[in-house]
Amino acid sequence: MSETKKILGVLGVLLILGGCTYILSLMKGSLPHSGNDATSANIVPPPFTDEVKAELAASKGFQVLVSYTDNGFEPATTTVQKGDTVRFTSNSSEDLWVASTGASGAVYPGTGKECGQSSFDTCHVLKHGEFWEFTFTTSGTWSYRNNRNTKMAGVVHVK
Amino acid sequence: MRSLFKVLFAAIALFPFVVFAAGSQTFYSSGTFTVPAYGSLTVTVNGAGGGGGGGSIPTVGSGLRGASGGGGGNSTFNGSVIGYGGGGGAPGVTSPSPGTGAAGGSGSASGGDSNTAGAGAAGGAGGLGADWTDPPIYGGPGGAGGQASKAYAGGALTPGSGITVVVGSGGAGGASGSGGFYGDAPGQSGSNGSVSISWTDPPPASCSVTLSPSSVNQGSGSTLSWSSSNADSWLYINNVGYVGASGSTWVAPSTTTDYSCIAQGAGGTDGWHGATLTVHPSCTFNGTTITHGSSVTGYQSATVPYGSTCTSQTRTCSDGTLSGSYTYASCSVNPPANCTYAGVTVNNGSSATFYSQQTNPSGQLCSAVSQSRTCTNGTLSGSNTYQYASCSCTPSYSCSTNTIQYTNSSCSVSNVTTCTSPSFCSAGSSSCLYPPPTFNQSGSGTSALTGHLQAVPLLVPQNTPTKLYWNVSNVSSCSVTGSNGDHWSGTSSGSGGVTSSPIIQQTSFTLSCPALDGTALTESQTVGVVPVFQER
Repeated sequence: MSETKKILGVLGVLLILGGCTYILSLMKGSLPHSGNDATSANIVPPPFTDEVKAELAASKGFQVLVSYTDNGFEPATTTVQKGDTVRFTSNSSEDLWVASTGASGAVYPGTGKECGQSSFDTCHVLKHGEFWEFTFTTSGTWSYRNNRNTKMAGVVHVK
Repeated sequence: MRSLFKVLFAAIALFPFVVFAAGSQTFYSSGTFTVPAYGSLTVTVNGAGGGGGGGSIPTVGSGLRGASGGGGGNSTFNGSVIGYGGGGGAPGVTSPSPGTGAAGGSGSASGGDSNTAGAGAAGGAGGLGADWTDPPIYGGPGGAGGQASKAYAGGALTPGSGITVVVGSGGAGGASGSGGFYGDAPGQSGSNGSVSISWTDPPPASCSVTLSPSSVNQGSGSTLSWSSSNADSWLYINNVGYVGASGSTWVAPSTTTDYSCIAQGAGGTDGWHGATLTVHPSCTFNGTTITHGSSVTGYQSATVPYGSTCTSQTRTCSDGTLSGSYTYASCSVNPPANCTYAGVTVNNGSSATFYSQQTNPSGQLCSAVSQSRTCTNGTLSGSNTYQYASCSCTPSYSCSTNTIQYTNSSCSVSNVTTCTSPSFCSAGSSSCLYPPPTFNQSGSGTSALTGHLQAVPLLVPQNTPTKLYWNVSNVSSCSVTGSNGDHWSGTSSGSGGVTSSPIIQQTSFTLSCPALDGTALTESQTVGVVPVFQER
């Protein structure tokens, strides 16, 4: 038996062992990254930064998700109860800066931020995958837009 | 050959394999245990053993007794899982009869899932004492320490935190009595306690996402709920972002959206878990949004002629595609058409009069050349001979039962006057007409009179009168005047006539009658005188 055949034989044994190990690991459910959804295979979560950690630590959950896509805010019109929290997640290729506009009457009250006249303002750009949560404590109809693309706008009705 | 080995090693390295790593640590002295990331963690706390009792010397009299062994120390984990130390053994008994000392009591345990007395560290053996005349006397053995075991589930202890571990020391052996002939030995010390900790690696983090409902029509939303296990690092949901370990929210994307999740923990991750919200797109029909599964009625045309029926079809929206092809949202049946003819519009169901002549000859009314034509959905009844919408009359007078009527150009007829007999009316005459004078005949044969002015005889002897006759009607009056001065009046001479004066010479008689019709009737008769012949 030539040396090459010996090596191929060893490889075959290893393949069998590896297969058995793989099956065993599946049974134990412990194989890392054995994703169940093929469509998610290429998704890379954004960096889990300290800012994200802080945001999550401060979060008390959110009742409505408003996704910002290349088509705009989805849903563009949202109705929430007073005290509800809305999460704005950027799923667009463009930057997102949520800001109250007052197009429906008045800007959302409250300041205390460095950037503008309303507390309903991210005051910074959200990149793809990033999010921002805001709790509406004042009833009314509050319009907002993306300051980086002012054609994209939405409305939150707070009952 | 070398390259072949490289391939071999690469193949080994790339093989998926699982290391079921675990950990363990045993404390033999007190210290601090740093909690690792774990799946389950088990602690076994062994209390220390008691020391053995000292042996005693069996001498005459009271003898020499040894000392009791010391008790073992307690061992603890986190201050709550405790293995108590065993008791020290008693020294050998010398009186009243020599014997082995009592054994130390076993240590108990508490705080564990299982607490077993005496299962901890072993106690020390008892010492001995011996003289030259009597058998040796042993001290009692020390008691074993207690053992407590406790298992901690993942999460019960915080990884990275420090937990105090106390390890009890074994009890000291009791001293033996001294002075024995054959020697003596103290009790042995009890064994030190210990705290053993073992753990398994934590399981990989996992997560799940559910959508209720899992498919919606465009414009509607769904409740997205998620949960996780062992996700002590983070949990990420695609298109949502990082989230807490569990929760729910309302989502309403416009298109089908992936909400797969992945969790990360100390034990790694078990990968992505898929969740997709299927959004059925809506359709648009004439500016109206038709949701998936809904239907709308489409029409083949916007209008159809009067008397026809609109053709429709049901169009159903299925994932953004509308079945069918009819493009109109509504359809109406046109009202019946009016008729336009000769420059006149006749509404459907109405009638209008049309004429075969535009201008009638005098005396003929337009009604004589008219026809009422009715419009039915654009079609006029009757004959197209009646092609004129208007008709005019030639102004004229006509007679109707002795009444003169005037028809103007508009064919309007008005009464002018009624003729009283003997006057009469006649078409074309604007006034009553009278009959012309008539001569009334009378008599017959040679005596027949014509009614005209007649002189009988016409030739008379001189100085002989003649008779004049006339009988005229349709005259207002008559007069007969003779050139001889005779004069009569009246429309008739009477049946006997009138007698003239004697005729001397040729005399002319003239009848003059103004006729009722305005003309003048004049007739004359000349009466001659018969000449008289005289002989000379």
